[in-house]
Amino acid sequence: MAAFFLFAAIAQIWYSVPLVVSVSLVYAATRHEAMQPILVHAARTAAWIAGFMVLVFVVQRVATWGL
Amino acid sequence: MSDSTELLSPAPSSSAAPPTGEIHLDLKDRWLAGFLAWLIPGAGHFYQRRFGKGSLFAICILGTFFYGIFLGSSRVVYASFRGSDGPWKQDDSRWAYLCQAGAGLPALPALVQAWRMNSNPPRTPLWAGWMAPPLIKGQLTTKDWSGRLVSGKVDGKEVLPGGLMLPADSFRERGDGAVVFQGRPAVGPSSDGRDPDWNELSVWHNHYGALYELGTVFTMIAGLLNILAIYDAWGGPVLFFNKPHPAPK
Repeated sequence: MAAFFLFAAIAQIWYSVPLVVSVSLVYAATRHEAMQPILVHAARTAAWIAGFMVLVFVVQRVATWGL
Repeated sequence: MSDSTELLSPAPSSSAAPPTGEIHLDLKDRWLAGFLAWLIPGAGHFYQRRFGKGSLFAICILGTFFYGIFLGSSRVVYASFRGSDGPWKQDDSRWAYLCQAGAGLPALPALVQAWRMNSNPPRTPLWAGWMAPPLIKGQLTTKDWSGRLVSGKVDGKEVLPGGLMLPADSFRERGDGAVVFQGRPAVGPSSDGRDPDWNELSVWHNHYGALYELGTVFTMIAGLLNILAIYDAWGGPVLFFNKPHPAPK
């Protein structure tokens, strides 16, 4: 839900979507040979990246609260 | 054991998926595969007949690279390592190109354009200036190129959006027929508020805004991702360990 609000609030965040997808897929593809484990690993990597972005967003939001 | 044929098994624990058994992987000539992977993302894997991964690398890396160019135009990829101690009066080191060059052939026109524009005498960039570096203060260029940048037209046909055209007073003709890009005129006030360091790169940033930076980031990341793909073509997946290939019975 937090990610939804993040994406709704900042239009330019949408530019990160193709980047996250391609980085996750390429990273996962260097760890596996078959396509299925690549896709599973990529989904997990993408979730980690998105989670990290949300974390940074929350930290920045808290740090600049009231400014 | 064949030098290029490996029997790979998944790593016992750290893999995201459960072990899927052993996979025979024929890397063929791994150095050639690595070179092909750099030249055209995915080509090294196609050479090794790893079509699924080759397609994935090609789509992801080339897609990222050309999406970056779509965002910020071909101007986000240029090769320039010009120091202010040379004949130029400004420093213009495009370190981003070191990452972009990882994408191989798609980024190589920048080297051709840089060579043409920085040669003595200078040559007009090819391909309508695709990946040509910006003009910086003190740079020599051709009448043809300066004319295009001022008028935005070639043979009456518009080739530049208005926001990318340069003022005529930013060029000064030299006696030998060459043209010097002088940036803001040295004497007298600038009519449009150009500061003393103004150059063609300033115009690009002003025209594209944040998209220029985004395009730069996308093309850089594409080049960096291709380094992973090159390694994969050269050595196979990184979390696997190699076992000796069993001798044929």
